[in-house]
Amino acid sequence: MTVLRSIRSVFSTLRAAVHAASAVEMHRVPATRDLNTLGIDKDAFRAIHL
Amino acid sequence: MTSPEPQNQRRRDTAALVVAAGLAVIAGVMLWDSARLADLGGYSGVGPASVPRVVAFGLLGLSLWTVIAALKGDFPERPAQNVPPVLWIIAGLAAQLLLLHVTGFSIATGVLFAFTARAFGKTNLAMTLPIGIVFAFAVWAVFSQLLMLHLPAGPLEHLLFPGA
Amino acid sequence: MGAFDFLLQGLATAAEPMMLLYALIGVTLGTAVGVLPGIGPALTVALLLPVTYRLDAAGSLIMFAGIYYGGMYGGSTTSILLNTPGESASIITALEGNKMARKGRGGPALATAAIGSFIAGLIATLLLAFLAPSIVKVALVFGPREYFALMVLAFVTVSAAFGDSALRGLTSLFLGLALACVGIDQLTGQARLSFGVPELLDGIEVTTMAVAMFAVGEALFIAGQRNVQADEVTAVKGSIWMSRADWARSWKPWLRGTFLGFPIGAMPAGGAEIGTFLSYATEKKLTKHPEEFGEGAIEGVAGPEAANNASAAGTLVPLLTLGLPTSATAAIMLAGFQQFGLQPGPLLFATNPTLVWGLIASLLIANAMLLVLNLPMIGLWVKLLTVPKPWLYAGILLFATLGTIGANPSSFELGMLLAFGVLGYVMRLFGYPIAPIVVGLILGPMAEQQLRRALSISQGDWTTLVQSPIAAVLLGIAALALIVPLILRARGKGQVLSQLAGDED
Repeated sequence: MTVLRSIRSVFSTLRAAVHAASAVEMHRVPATRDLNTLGIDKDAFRAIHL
Repeated sequence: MTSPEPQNQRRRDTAALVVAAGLAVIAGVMLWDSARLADLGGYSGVGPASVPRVVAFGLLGLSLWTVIAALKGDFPERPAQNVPPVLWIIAGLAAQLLLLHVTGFSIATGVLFAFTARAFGKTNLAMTLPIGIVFAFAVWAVFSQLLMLHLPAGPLEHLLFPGA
Repeated sequence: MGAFDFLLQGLATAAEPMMLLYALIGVTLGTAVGVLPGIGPALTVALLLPVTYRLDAAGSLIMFAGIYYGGMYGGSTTSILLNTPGESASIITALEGNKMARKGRGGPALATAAIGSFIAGLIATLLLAFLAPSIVKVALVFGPREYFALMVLAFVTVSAAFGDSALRGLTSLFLGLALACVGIDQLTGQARLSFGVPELLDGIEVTTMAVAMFAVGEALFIAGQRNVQADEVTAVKGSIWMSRADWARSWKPWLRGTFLGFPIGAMPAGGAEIGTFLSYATEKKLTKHPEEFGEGAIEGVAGPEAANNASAAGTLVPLLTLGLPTSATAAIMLAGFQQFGLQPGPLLFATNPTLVWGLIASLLIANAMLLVLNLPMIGLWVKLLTVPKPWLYAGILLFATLGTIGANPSSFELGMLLAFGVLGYVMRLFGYPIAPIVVGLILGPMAEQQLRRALSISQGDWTTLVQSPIAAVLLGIAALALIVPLILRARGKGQVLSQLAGDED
């Protein structure tokens, strides 16, 4: 059960990283959901001058 | 800056429909062009026209998909744009293109330099234009005389480097 | 001879004074463009292609690789001191790094970024050197159909699998493939899509396209942005050196960042950013100081900075061993090889080992140079940050057009630059990724050639494409990489509604 859970967590992190990376390449702030998954504070991210 | 959840904006996206039309036009041009190629497929059955045709059909499909996405409002929100600076840069590039063979590299590129600086907030062309021309001339001297790049010379370049 | 002997021989090549000079120019330029926002390694290499046309091939390639590595180092400086990433792969560094700088710990932040980059670059370059020979051995049996399958896989992963929208990624890719069709057909000599315009017969220059996309398109997009924030440089206060506690907290993130970044760079995933995001998430989960995250945790700088350098080295694995670019910068470097009549891939290891191993070895030297450039000389780079935006972008466009005019001094070429620049602007506006169009333009003709070769060997039998096990597996992965994310995305949308509050799915 925990194994399944951690595999799922790895995949969701990977997916969030992929989505966030493609968003920043376009000078856009990634979706809040992706940032949450990655443990990034949304407001701190907004403060970066993209 | 922000991209709201797609659920909030299920509206028709006219600009995206224009993109879809553009893709369809490109596909049409490719199909028309491939039709006049003699298909020398030989043994393989795949000639010079085959790949353009495949790409064109791909573009047609993507055009259709874009229409669907546009109608559903699936495109991300476009950041609000300040149009005048964008036009200044385009004008600078166009001016350089037109002037290049008339006035030579330095003056044409100086205009581009000044117009770009204008787009980013240095509005005093009387100052930026001379700076741009001098800078572009220095670049011309280094790259055409030392690195042997072919950069078009104009009156200014001939004046200072009579051999150019 | 094993990889180790080759590497030693390469070091002998790379240590020649001229090669050292090329490497030094490369890493200095690379750091500079990394520091300057708005100009990255892909654009710099594209601008240098026409200038290096007459120079030594090995030296120029060593310089390009130095630029690539240097860009990854320099990007962190702006992130930490300005909160403005010089490179999209350094965005995550800004998160914790700028907080550290504001607390007067800018010195240790810059130090952990530079040392982490060095360690990651060192390990990843050695991994590249020891992996390359075995991949080359496998790739030597590849025929046209295997190469075609490999390119299809690269197309799919660059455009559809790893973007946030398969539609926009694929559209960008197909635009690149369409542009790749312009010009004289390689096999039959017929003019395609050139409409009687003689300038189009040679096809569309990759460099013109890349410069237009990365310099003109980017400048237009930045110029058009509203609410421009004033940039403020945070002065480096206090000691630049890391304390014992900083070292103790940094070394594990460096290693983890390296082993996250390297495989992600080697996968055809497009770009070093993914590794940095993963590294940040990992460090935040594993840290013993969770309260510091968001307030300037050194792990959040050390890990991502190691990851972006490792993925730069990872990108070189498929580029050198298979001739397959997996990011925009790699695609431009491939154009650099082709400019000298070289085709990276297994054959190049056999026909020109001096060049390939000299290039790999020079990365080790470049990495050491970068550590020196970036730690004791950090003050110099900080001065670069004070170049005002109008002069910066005016200068970028000056050099962008200089490169294009230098390659081909015609108004037609400049017109293409302008047209593609506007295209790049519109694509950014609508959220289309840029890498697929560049990769499509450069890989399109190669994929077409391999496909037609494979089909003429089989006399037009299309099933030949899946009759080789390697090709079949590669095409299968490509199909999965296209379809699975589409299904996941469709399912994901439904889940958002039911799990608005949850952070796990």
